[in-house]
Amino acid sequence: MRQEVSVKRKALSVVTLAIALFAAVVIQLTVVNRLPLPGGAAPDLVLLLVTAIAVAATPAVAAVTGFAGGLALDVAPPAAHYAGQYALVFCLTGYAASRVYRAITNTTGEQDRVAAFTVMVAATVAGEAGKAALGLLLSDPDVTTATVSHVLPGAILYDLLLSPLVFWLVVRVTRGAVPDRAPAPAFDREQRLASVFRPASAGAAPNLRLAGTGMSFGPRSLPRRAPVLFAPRKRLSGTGEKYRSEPVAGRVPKLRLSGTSASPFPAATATFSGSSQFPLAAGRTRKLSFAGDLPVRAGARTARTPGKGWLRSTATPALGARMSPAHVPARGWLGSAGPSGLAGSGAAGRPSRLADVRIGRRMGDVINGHAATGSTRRRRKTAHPRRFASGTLAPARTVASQVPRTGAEALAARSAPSGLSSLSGAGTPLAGRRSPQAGWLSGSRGATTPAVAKAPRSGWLGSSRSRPRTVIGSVVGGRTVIGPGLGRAGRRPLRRRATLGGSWYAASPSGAWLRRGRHPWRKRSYLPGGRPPVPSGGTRTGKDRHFIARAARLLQLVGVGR
Amino acid sequence: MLEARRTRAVLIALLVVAIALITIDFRDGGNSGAHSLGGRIFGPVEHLAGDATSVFRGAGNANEVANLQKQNDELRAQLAQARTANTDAAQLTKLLRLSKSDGYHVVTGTVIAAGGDYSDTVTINAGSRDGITSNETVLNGDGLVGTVVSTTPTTATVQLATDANATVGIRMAGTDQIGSLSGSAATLSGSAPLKLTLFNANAALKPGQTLVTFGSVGGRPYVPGVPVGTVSTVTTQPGSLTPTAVVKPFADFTGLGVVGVVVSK
Repeated sequence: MRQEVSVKRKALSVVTLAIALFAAVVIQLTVVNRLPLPGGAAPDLVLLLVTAIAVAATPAVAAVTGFAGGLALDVAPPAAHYAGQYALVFCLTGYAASRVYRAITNTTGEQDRVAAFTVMVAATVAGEAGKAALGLLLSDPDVTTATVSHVLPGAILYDLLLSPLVFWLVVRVTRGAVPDRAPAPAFDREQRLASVFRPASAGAAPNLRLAGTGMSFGPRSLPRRAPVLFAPRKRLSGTGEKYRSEPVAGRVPKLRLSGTSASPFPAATATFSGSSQFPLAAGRTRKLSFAGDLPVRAGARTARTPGKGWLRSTATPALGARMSPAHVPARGWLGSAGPSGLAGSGAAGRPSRLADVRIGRRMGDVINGHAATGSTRRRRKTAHPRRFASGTLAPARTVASQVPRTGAEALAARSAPSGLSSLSGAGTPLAGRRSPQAGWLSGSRGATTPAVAKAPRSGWLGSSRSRPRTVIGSVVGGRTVIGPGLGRAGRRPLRRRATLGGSWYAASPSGAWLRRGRHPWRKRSYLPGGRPPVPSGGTRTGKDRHFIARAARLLQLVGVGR
Repeated sequence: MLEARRTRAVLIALLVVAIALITIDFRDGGNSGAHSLGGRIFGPVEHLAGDATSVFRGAGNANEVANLQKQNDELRAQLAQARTANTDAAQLTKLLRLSKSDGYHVVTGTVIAAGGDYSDTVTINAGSRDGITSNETVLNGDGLVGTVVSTTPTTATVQLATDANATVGIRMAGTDQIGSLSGSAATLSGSAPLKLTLFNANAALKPGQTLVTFGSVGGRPYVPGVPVGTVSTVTTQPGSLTPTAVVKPFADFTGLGVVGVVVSK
């Protein structure tokens, strides 16, 4: 979990390190250089400190640190070389070290002490070599090839001996001040996997939903790509948890939350709103409350503070009951119900346990999904529809009931808060963190087009390592895996949104839907690419997947997602 | 993206500044304002640090030692002067315009800092306030140490005779042959020798011969007659125009403590 970096703590460590740098310069000149060490060389404390700070700081800070430390060595009295020499070398060294380490963390998605230390040592060696190289370049009489060959090995050796100590000290000082930077800009392994499985899990959802209503749109009709399309499903699942994870990918859902406080509306209204919302959740969202029961204004208002709304409704399991009204609209669009809500209709269904079991199984699938292959997905495709056909409503029912009874529900309820936090909808993103995620979130909230550009890449992944976990948890409850793939997949919907002027995420009916007036689930032709949906699992083609993975990796390598 | 761009801007700005500093310093021959500014900032700090470290070095009776050292240095300087005067005083005096009325005055200082791996420079805790100026001879109880290259109010930077930039005019003690002695880099903590080149192609060089400074105009940067070292190995190559040798200095450059600066009054 990313720990919030307190300003105080950060300031303290900055001051400490600045003093340490100054002290290192003085100690280097007054003590270290005077030690009669064998080999005619001495360790370079300043260089070690610069590189150690570099791997713990941003490239800009590292460059400034290196410049300052080098310049101090350049101008402090006994210096005989040209001023600026070491400043140049240390500046480059620090910057490169920070940059390289960042690239590594971006690739692995984790903070790695060993990698950090390795980078630091490598940078130190490079720095020593750089000092010698620049001296040779400037034809400093003191620095000749003979001298370098005599001094350099010893200097590097002493640096290596001293580096663990310096590294440890810097880690100590910066602990808590430097975020556990796993802001893996890009995607974790789990997330990459999630992107693979998302479509599969998505395919199952409609089944679940539809079965209860008596509509038998098989997974066949499942729209394959737009995350937008997932939205209805998610809502219906009854856990409400999915919403939370979803926002990561795109916009905060405005409408959904509104439903919590509202009373059920006439079935007709509900139906209308439901149908309209299916599609791409484009711009209309505000008017068409998903809940279908809310006054327009109420919807808009809640839309602005999705995080809070969610929190209120889902933070505790007990609140689950309250949430269920939110799903009512979903029911509405399903067309099943009257004011009484899904709970009633679903109650009649087959044992809820069946659904639970299913969910549990699915969860297992997803969690173990790292190894999952096409075959497993295929199996799911076939098996799933059948099992769910009868009992779709079970989840809804349980949600409607006040207390979560099943393991799946409990899990969903438990994961809900964390889901929220991961979404950062809880307020962390709003807090103005510098994490990329927060940035694009806020940007997207504004519904500005620039946000679109940012969204996919920067990181919904966010900074915390725990997020992936949350995401997967959400899969369990809501069956939707929100992964990196989502961010990627979200691009197209986002673009569409740009044209339509709405929030794709909201999963409310898009303008396109309204215009075409077709039922969302049947509608495939409007989907970009217009490929026929895969019957059950709705999986991506292998090509697709590879493309996504490659794109993700490229982004990482380029450091874009940072 | 924005952050990356900002980072790049910072980096480029810093590099430009660094290169500008190098260029300016290069133009000024290593004596740009940056060095004096740095001296002003770090000089006092190093002064303090030198005092602090001297405590650890057990210099409880540092003052006494310093006084004795100073006396010793003064006597040595006078002896060198006397010796010089006795050999061929008239000629040298005329040649070098040594004013015999001026005795040598020695200001003592303690080494408080040393340069890095590639430079043979040290800083002493006496500066322009004590009357030290650039290009003054620095010696210790054993022999020649170097010359002052820059000063701050409280510190002075000494270029050791072993620095690659240093060239000392010398005279063979017995034969009065003159030559030059140049340092090789990285001898501060090592044992790289000094290289002697005599100007007279026919001069005889033998191991064990003693070298003293030849002296410079006005005693800057080197006063005459300061013992430098002894010839350890003759390295004259057959057919070379000048005899060369390796010289072992009297002073122990790896363990410099109290040194004296010859201040001309």
